[in-house]
Amino acid sequence: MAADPGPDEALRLSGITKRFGAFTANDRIDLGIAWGEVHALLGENGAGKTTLMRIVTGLYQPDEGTMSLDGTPVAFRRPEQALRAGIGMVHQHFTLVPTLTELENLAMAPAAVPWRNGRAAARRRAAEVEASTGLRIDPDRLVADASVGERQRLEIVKLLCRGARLLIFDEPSASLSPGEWDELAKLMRRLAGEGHAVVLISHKLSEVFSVADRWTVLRGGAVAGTGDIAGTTPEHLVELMVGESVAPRRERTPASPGAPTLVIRDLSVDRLAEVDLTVHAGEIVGVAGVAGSGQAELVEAVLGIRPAAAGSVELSGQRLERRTPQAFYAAGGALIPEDRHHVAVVGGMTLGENINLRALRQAPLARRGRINLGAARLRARRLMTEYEVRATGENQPMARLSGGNQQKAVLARELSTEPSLVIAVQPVRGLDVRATEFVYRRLTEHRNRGGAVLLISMDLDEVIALSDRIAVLAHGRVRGVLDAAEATRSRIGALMTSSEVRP
Amino acid sequence: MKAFAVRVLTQLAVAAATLLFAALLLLAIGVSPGDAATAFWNGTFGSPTNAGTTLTQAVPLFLVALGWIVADKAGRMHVGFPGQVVIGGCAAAAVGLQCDGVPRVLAIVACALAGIAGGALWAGIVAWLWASRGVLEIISSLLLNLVALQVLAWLVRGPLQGSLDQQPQSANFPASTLWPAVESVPGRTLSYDVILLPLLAAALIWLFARTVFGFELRAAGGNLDAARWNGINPVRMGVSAIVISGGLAGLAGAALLFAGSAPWLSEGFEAGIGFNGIAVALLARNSPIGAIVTAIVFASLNVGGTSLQALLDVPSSLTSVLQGAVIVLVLVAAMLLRRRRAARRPAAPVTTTPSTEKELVA
Repeated sequence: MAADPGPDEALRLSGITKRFGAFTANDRIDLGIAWGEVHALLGENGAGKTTLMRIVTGLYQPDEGTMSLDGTPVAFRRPEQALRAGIGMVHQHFTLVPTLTELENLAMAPAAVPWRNGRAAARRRAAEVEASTGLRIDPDRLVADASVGERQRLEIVKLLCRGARLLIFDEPSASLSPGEWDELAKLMRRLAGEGHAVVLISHKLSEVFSVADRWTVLRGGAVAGTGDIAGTTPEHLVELMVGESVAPRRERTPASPGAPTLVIRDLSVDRLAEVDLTVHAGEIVGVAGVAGSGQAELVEAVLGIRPAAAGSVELSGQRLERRTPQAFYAAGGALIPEDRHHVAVVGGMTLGENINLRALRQAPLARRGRINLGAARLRARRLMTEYEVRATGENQPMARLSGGNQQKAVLARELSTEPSLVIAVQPVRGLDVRATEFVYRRLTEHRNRGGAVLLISMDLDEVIALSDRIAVLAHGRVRGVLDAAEATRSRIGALMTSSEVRP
Repeated sequence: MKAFAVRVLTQLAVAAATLLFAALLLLAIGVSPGDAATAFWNGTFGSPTNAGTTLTQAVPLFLVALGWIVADKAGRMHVGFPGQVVIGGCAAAAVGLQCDGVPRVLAIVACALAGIAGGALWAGIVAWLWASRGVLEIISSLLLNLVALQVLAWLVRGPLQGSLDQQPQSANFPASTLWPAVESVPGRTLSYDVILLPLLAAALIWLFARTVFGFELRAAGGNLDAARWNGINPVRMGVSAIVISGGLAGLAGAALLFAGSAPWLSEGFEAGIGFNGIAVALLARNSPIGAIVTAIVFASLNVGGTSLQALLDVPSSLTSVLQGAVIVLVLVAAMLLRRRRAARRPAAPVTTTPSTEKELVA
């Protein structure tokens, strides 16, 4: 039991620890949220914010530690229990049914009697919420016809109707226009003014400073610091978020960049705006940024999966006019994608077929549409040895391989064609230490042989350790390009969290 | 090797269970299973004539099964085989009826090609709807089956109506269009088109294993996104697979007409081949070689059912009951095998946890 909960204390977490296997996502976290405050929760990707909030909302159960609400110990086994206790979360991806009206979405709650749809009750509750917070909904409009901002408002009203008093906003501005954000900021202040507690998860320091009262920074699953907004500076928070670099720079020869291999000019795709980026032969360019800053758009636009609104891409001196994956590979590109299971491997085919997925379709392995199976087998076996893929044989189904071996097979496929450019997105995600070291060594070797590497990663240490130059991506724009020598975690962190340019 | 033994044992168990089920069914209607077995054997393989009929009837089933296998490999699950068989048959019949006096080889090739083209075109509608509009191929193909049946009903009453007593059927096909049969078999029941069984099975295996096209087809079917990200055009692959599968079904339609016992176009000539062919492929676990065996089994059930009815007055619908029982038993066996396999590899999910952890935290 908490020794002396203050009169305003809403939620108190003590010693919350959550492990997934050997990985500790939350490490003895202490956190207090008070009624009437906006509390900003900050941290890099993987710092443990999402896990912590999932514990608070009953999606996960902590391995250790206790929670108390209004001084009473609580333990939530299901999200409904947390909601009943008054804790609600506004997710980044809304939990609304687009084909129903706003009122029907509000009425969609576990009903006491199943045959009553609770529409009248929902209308009454919505009116009460409007009276107290000024949040107005359009009850008979289809959710599909509402704008993103309006949907978010409905989501908030839904939580309030169900009695939420502590509201958690998970990066609420990610999909909002600046004007909509200003409205939301006002709303958060008003909710806090009425005695609600608001938790704001955000990467944008400008937002945090414009709306929050207190802050807590998580780093590596533990609390790095907490305090009042009034007594701090953005620089201090960035320093706490990114911390001091733990990974020493890798020993390697200085880069000797040659001719430009990949030249991206003014590329605009969806949220990506006017990106200029050049990767020379013989250098590794890292792209740092929090998840969802436009990394996926960048890769898919260069590959030709996602049509670009404007801009040009040049690869090995050839301008890719009609961008298709075929053209990208033909011009000497290779790609280690982030989402291995969905876009890189065919689980139902064999390891050998996956290693040869592209080589098998052209000379010398195939001539006039016919495949030379013997040569394909030899190539697969050679690459399996060279890239240390552990399997019972080249005919083992890909899906039966461990994640690390699957990734090595992808690596073998992509690096074996002697590409002029390798785009590697989160190339060590899910790999163990040995496999990680292997991937880093291969990428560095590729650079030393005069290849170009574009390394896209959300892990700052990885980017700093491998890159010769670092481009920082935030909110779909390149905020700056730093030389490896001048790149520190705090400089990159400051660029990563820099706010959007607002008109 | 052990897995193979388990599979063979399961298949034998399925066969035994089916036989047991059939025996019980026969006892229930008062027929001695021994008599029935004799009558069944005599009707299917007991004489060269009957064996010829059985094998010849297996060909259309097998062709449809191959069509299913091709589409399935590319990940496109369409069920438009009845319609493609019907339209292929109609096209072949329309060409065949004009072939009076044309040299025999030419007439036969023309009819076969017309059948392939008809089925492929009909499947092409499904492919086009899928590729351009994203219409689910399983829905559009199912509905087009109904359209095809109405087209057939209209043709045999309208443009292709040709029987003298105004029955809804076409005139008899000219002798030059009928597919040749083995002379030494009494009754000439064994059509030469049975060579398609090994030939096409081998061709399909070769296509999948040895050609770039077959490889791309399998990649697109295995993981559409991964195929696209690796420079394969999955839409082209899907369209090709659906069209090829329609062509095979169309050829089955031509085989039904020109190698069958009734050399004219009539309503109902399709005789359930389209859907039974899917069952043939599923029972063979989508293996072209296995499909030869299962197609013959299915054909013998049909033929044997007829002889049971003639000799022992067993209702021929019993055959359909047995076919259904086979499918259900095989599905049960497949499910049991999968459970067994899942129970024996508890280690698999553990190895993948590191990656999921990171995803959870991210």
